[in-house]
Amino acid sequence: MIGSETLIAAGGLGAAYALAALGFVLIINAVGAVNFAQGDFVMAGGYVAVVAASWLSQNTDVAVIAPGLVILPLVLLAMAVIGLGFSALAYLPLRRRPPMAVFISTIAIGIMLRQSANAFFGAAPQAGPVMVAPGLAGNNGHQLAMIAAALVVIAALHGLLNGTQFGRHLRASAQDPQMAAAVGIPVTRMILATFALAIALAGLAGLLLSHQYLVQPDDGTTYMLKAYIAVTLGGWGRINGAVAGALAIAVFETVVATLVSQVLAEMLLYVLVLAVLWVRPQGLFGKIEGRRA
Amino acid sequence: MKFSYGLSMTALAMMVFNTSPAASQNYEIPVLVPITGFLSLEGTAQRNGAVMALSEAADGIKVSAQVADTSTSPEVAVNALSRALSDEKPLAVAASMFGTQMLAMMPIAARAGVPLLTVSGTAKLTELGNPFVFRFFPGDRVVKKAQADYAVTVLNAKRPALIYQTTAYGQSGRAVLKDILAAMGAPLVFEEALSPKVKDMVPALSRLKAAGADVILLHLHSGPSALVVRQAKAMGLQQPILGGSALHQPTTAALLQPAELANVCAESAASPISETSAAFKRFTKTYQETFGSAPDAFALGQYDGMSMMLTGLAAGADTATKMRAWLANNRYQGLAMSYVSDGKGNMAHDAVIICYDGQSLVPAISRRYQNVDGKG
Amino acid sequence: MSALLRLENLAVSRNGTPQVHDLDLAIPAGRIDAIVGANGAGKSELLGALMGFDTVISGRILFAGKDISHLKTHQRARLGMGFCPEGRRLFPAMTVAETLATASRGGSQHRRRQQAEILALFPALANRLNAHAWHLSGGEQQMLAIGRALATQPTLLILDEPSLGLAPKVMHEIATGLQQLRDAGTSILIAEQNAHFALSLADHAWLMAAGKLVLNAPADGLIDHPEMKTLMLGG
Repeated sequence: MIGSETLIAAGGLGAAYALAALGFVLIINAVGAVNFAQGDFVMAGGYVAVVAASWLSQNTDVAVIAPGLVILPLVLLAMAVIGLGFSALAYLPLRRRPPMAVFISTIAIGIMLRQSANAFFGAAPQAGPVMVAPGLAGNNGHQLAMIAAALVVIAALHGLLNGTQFGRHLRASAQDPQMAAAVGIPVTRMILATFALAIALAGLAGLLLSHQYLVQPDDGTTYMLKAYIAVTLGGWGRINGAVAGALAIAVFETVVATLVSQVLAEMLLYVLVLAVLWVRPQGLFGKIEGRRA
Repeated sequence: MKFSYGLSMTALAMMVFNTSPAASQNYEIPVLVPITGFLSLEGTAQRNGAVMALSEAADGIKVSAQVADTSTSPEVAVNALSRALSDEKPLAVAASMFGTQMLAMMPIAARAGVPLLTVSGTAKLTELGNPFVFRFFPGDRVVKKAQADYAVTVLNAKRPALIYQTTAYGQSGRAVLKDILAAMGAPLVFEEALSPKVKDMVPALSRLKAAGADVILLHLHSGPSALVVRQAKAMGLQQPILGGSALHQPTTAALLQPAELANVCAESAASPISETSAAFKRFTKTYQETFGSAPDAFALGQYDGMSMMLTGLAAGADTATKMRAWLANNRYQGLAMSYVSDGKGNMAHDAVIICYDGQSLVPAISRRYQNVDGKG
Repeated sequence: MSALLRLENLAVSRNGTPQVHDLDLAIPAGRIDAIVGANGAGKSELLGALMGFDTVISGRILFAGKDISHLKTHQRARLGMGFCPEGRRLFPAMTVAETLATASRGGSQHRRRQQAEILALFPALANRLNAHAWHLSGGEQQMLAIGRALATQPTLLILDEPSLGLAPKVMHEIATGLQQLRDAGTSILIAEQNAHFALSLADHAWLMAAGKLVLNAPADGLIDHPEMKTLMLGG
């Protein structure tokens, strides 16, 4: 019963959830606050994809064979810009207040996103573009492209954070903003860049999910919950943990749901979350952080 | 002297207590429907149908729609209804088709003595003995019977499967389908309940396939219906899909490609865009021009219901009490079908099965079922 | 004297409480200055104000003749102030190599040169390049903290309690390193509770008590000063 479709569905879903969870972790690390609007930005990315794809099909004569891939860079860019705007509203005015203030402002902005999407696009679900047209790479081309796109972006993110000076500056700003400033890093700018990155990742997740799973204004809360669970399972603040947690959720939603029923599979996922919180609260990859030197 | 005094008093009385609605009274009709949330598609259709019907009221009759969003929870619907009833008692209320919300609103409407006009399919609404509910959409006992009949007699289902929603709507439809199919000798070999938020249908479809089902029946809302069709085709499933009313809606079909809709049918009260008569064409054209989208059976049902109400008003039912009685005791020939109460508030007794041909997003009427429950 | 660092009438508060009052200070380039005093004298807050961490209530800070009182921390770092805080505060999830690279400005070639220079000064770090901060010994951490500050190529290196928690042998290594830096042209300002260590290393010393400067003289002469003796016995 667990056919290749199920495994590929797991991979595709896991890819999208991983991107959303990664963005979530970046913001936690950078400002110590939970971005409650992360799921709503996934939804926003889906709508950006819907709009971009419809523009593409109306204004180009070329029968685009991979519309999703073509608009992918545009979605990343648009969402990065939106992410900057978001940080200007949610973070900049509150950066001298405790992280709780930022958390609350993200809740407010999430609600505003939801209502705006409803007002602007209507509450009916909309379909986003397919990544690659069916026929190329068989029936599963779309999901394989989802996985490939996510892998490329995650690898690029890893390279950025660990292999570039900019990435090191981002990490330093997240780990100790005062000392980062003391070595000449413009910390506020780094944090704004982190927001841009995090929201671009959320938007990409939205693009990937928009064809198979449609986009609706209310989707945000569901995705937010998944990002939160991914990070709880994988280790709060750990990047590889977020990816692992996201994959775990995807496996429950596909493989486990195929073996038992949908409702039971969801319950089992939450049982797992509880178990992790009891037995290993720092998450699978979490370290009890070594005392700072 | 006395005689003429009596006459003039009577004349005065008749003028003062004139029951003709030509007196310049503006009737405000609350339209309380889900415009946001997972039923927004259907709720918006209800709103459009109601507003359109009220705007076509005959000259001399002044009615206006007071639209409020009931969103997704019963509390919001109850609040909206209480607010609507707090000023003057309206003639009638166009009410949310969300079964859960209707069940919450019904006791309040009964206490206030105001009839609720809805297009909800949930069977339970008319089984509670509440005389203030009027359903202008065929209940589960009509459409599900049509769906089951078509599955068995036309699609030759011997091992049908059902995917349904965990909501009151879903559970009610499942109960009816299960019984009818068993009685027809083709019991369900597989059933799966999904919450409206579930987006990944592959697990359920995999298990359905493993169970050896030969026809896939759906009783889902719009988004989930589209997701099942899309993901079933992506999986390469060959079984015909016979969906619930949601799958007849143009907005649902618009989420899919024509090729994905090959071998897909759905039950519905009606399908305005599939009909070719002049009256239907006028309705569809006006609706399209006014609201920028194609009408579906929910819009049409609400339109017919509000039109029946207006007919009653013209005939003298100008209070809520009189309206309730008029709706309960009169037959009305609407656009979709003829409406008459079965004594419990079920006004609609006909259904259709529409099918897509794989080339177009506009389905054709494949079979008409008239007076399915014998009460029509 | 053209001062590298000049403080005029400086008053500083931390968490709303004033800790430094009416402080005047002038330090020329090219030497090691030590501010000594007991715990709570206000040394840490004074250094914090230099970097922009603590609130200046009144007065001015002039660095190389420029009033930096309103500059942000990262701007002061870029002007040439390097900082080594109390407790080191190394980046917890970075290796030694990454820490040095992060603080360096310029391209990869420049970063390599920086690293080589710092390893020449503190050879003990050479085979710990891939270790994370919390795997290092206390002495290695202090060396890394100083190395991180040096990677920004400061004109003035500021250290807050560098000897804290270190064994005497390690303190000696660090002191040697600092003196080498001074000889090579970097000015150094240290705040120390450990007067013995500070005076053995510094060229000039300032005694701070209750937020004010009470003494200021070349380090040699100060060891025998009665106030200093009190401090070294009691502090």
